[in-house]
Amino acid sequence: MSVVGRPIARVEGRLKVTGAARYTADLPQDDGKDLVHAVAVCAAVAKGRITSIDARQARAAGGVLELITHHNAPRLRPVPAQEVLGPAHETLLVLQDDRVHYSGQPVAVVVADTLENATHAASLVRVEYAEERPVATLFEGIDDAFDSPRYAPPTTIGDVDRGLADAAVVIDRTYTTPAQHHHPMETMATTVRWTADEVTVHVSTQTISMVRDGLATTFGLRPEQVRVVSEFLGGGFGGKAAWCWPSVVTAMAARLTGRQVRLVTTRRQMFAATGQRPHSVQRVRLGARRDGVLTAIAQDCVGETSAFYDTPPFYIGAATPVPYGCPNIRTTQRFVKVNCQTPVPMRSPVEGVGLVSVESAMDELAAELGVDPLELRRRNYAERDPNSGLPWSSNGLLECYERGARRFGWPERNPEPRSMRDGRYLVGWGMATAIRHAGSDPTSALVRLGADGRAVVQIGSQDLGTGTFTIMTQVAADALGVPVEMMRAELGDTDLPTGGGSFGSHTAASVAAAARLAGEALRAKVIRIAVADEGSPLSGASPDDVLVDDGYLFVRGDRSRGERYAQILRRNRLQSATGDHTPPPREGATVARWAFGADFTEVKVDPELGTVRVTRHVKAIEAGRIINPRTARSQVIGGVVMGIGQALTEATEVDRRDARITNAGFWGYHVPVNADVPDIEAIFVERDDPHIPGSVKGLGEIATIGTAPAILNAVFHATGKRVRDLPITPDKLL
Amino acid sequence: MRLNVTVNGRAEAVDDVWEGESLLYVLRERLGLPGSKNACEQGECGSCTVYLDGVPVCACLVAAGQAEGRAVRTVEGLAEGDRLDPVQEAFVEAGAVQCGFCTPGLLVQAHDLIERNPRPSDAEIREALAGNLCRCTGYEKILDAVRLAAARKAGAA
Amino acid sequence: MRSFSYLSAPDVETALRVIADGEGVKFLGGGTNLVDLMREGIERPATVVDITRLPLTGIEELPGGGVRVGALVRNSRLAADLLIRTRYPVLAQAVLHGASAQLRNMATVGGNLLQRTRCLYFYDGAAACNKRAPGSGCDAIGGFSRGGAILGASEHCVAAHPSDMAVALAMLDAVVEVESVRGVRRIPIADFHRLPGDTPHIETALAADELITAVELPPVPVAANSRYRKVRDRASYAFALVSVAAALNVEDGVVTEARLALGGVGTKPWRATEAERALLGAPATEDAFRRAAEAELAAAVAGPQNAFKIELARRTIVATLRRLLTEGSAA
Repeated sequence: MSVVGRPIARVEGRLKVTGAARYTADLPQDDGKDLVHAVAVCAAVAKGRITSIDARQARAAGGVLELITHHNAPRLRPVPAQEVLGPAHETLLVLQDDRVHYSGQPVAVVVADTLENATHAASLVRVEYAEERPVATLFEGIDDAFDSPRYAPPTTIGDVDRGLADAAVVIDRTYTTPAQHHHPMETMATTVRWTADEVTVHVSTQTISMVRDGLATTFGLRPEQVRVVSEFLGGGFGGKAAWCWPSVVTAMAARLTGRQVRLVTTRRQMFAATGQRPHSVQRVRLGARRDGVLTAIAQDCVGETSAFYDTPPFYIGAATPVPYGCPNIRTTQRFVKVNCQTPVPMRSPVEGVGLVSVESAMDELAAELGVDPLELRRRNYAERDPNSGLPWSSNGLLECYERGARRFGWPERNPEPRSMRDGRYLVGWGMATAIRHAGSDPTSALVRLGADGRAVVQIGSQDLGTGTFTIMTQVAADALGVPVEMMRAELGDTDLPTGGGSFGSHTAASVAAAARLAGEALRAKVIRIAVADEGSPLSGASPDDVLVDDGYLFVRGDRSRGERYAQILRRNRLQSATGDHTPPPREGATVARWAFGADFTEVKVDPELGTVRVTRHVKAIEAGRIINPRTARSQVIGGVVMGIGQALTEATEVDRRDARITNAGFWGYHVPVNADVPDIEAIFVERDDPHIPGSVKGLGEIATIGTAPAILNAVFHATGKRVRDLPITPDKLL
Repeated sequence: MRLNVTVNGRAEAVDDVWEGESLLYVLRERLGLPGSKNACEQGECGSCTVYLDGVPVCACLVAAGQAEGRAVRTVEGLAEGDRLDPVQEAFVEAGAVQCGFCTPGLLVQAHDLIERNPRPSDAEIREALAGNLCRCTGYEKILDAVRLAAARKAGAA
Repeated sequence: MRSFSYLSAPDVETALRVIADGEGVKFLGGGTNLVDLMREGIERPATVVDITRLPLTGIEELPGGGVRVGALVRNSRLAADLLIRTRYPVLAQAVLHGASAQLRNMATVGGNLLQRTRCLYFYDGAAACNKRAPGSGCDAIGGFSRGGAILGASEHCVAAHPSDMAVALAMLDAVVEVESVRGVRRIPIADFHRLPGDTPHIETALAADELITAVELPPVPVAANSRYRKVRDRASYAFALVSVAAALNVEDGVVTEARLALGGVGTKPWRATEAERALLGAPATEDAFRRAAEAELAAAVAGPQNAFKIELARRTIVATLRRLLTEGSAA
């Protein structure tokens, strides 16, 4: 019986609830007392030059083995541009010269025998700066905003000016979204051992292959000399997708000391260690006929990028042309160089940020026209992808609308703002559309079967915690035809067959496709062996006539003529097979592959004190086929809660005088807590998609896209006040 | 100093402990018990929650010296041999675990909640666990797990 | 963390002698604030005296209806105590609105009184802060000051006091009992916390050699009808934007007794005496509540980022008094 699609418990669950799962910072040292600890000293100014580093006290402190500054750090080779290694470009700066480009940039690294000694010595390093006036936020630098035709080319479909001129109603609004930090519970941890021949890295990363290639490039090694391991990962959300400075300096320290070195960033350092979601300003203009049919969508965004890097990180309006069928669409983005870290993706860098404004503006348009917000979206349903002009590979958006609305009770909504109450609370209902591109990466898998009938599936991918171990196991077990208990998954090691990065919602699609191919290949291989094996009851059968069920191989029509995998393998040794998944090329595509969703939310606002609580949320998602509803549901609920944080509580606050982050701790940066969370329901609208292997579209980002704008819209419905500046803290509603 | 502390029922005498180390550091770096996690070191996330003399605390804010002569119970000490505590079982079954980094602290806190309040209301669960940040699960399934564990414990009692 | 010498005090006498004789001696209670500040390098004691084994853990009824709370009573126990919950519901509620369950399990009553500000610039070692480094200036003024105080600030410091518990104690006219080798002193709560003035680093009236041994709650019959209300950026586990501790007696529609204290807005736990004066004898109406709030907040000074606190405090005071009037003290 197929296990794909069944809600089995996560396979590594027991390890995690007993404390036995070993994360990077938990790993026992390789041998003896070799492991030493590194602690980074980070810049206290955001722009300027280091004029002196007084390390005498630090060097003299107990247990100190090495102190690295730009004076003695290994020279790094530049990493090629982002298309090669993703957002890894900061590495060329790490301890290479006296320039400071952002507050929190590492300026020295102390290595000592114990973590306590290293931490203490780091506190003794005195750094003097010649400080220069930084650009603190994009507002300070907006006059110097620039275009990037190469990385963020404007999208133009039809004639937007004409579409706006022809519109009966035009909405023209500007929204701002703040910088945010990912804050996985596990901070960035790296352990490196550097011997003459080989570098071994244990690291909390979403992409072991990128760490391998990044390290090899920056330090001038061949990738084969680098082994990267990341078995258990304490979340990432995009923040662990890059070859980032904490790992770079750990490698430096390991090379200089010849010891195994570990560096674990502090929570404060996480505000300038792995990048951030960029602050943005988004102007949206929507033109529509009286009946709500869109005649124009124009979005002009300004986003921050770092002061030192010319390649803007990403184009937040890139998906704006996709959700609605509109003949005239134009999106542009400009960038402002700010003294911050280079922005990196955070749980949908494009749709999760750029559609906040579009989905709010749609709500404003609905209010202006007196059309129900859901109905407005239905009327603008895109029959094909407006951006590419291609038909959808599959599209369950209308069913998401329908089922989500029904479950939520949307038809009961009184359209009038401030019309719904619960005692003294104002009740608001809001909704939004969610879309997310569905893709996958080249991925290889190996499935091996032993004489005990047990099998293992290996992929050099990573499990962020979402359930990759589990779905790999399910898919490979099905493909081979063994009970799921007989299949074990291994991942997180560059010695395994190469996998892609665990970001971009690509992981499930990639590993499922590769695991299936490998499992099927191994099944075919064993069948071929069995039919040729005179000792087997299957001997002489046609391979096409051999079926497998629950680890038992038999001839079609005669279940008694067969034997188990274990019996075949006992006579024929260990067997394995590989499978290689190659994603369809983007160029020349004949279909547009996207996942869809609809968020419906209820908020209760205290009109007197301005506090907002989300009290109910329904999210309907069409992401093709769901491999494991249990892990999927949890992932979606978590995504919704991240959206609640985006809408109501989370912002990285910068002092506009000196570009230093002021709320650099969990006491100042508010991620939602248990008490903030309402009843959340995830509905999966399933679709077969003939253009996507296994019909797996990915969930990681669609889980959170749409939630924040739905909440914004609900707050308007509750209060009649439109907040266009995230997050909606109580002061904005007084 | 030599720190005498009972950890998960076992008397430990740890030499060369500096009093300013945290209890979390002692557990993780000296006693080989890395189940309790360091995610903020400021008492702001609950990932390091352990029992100290039967009361859940943030081990990152307990100076090692304060643990002298006391009893500590960590996530590694919740199961009895191979038999998981109902709270642990429920976390796996309800899908309350994702990356698992917050899980050890949550388990200790949830374990304590059910011990003190065998039938907690949803509001009581949410408030009792408000000091345990989780970035993956959205808490909803954690709530399910606590309800499930409470029901099982009540049923078994 | 900087090195220090460590001693576990077996009795009060030893603790007092060590602090009287030494330089840079700090008492360690629950550690939830001190250990964090030491790790951040903000507190740098030469000697730490662990006082958690001292017998200061009682909650006793006093003749006349008051209650004496030992300085080492854990916050969680204080909030759960039946005597406290019935006589001073505002105090139990305030404590439960602070921090998290784990922190309340460690934090002590005495330590909570000495809790240091959560001003972002106080915590940032690279910023100018007169509390942390006297004479260095105040980067919070003109900086990101959304959390800053609107009452009691000076040109040297705008840091808000972070405690919830102390706000309730201020409302209750608690008395802080302190002891040193020189003897015992009783400090009214109103005098215990100091305004920053030009010495923001001196936060309390506690002398360098003194130990808080107990907090005495006088009999406050009106406190049986009291409430704590806290407005914050998330539903739990966040410092107050504004909080209000209030108690109210109304007879025939007229306020016969009112007590009010504010958190999140003052540089110390803020007893709202102006508001109390305005309430006394006034009709128990929304209008009177608002006028009382305005009387207290007339002195408020805010920057652009924390100006909302004036309005939010006004509204929170009115909301809390209204709720007390209609629903009583039930949490």
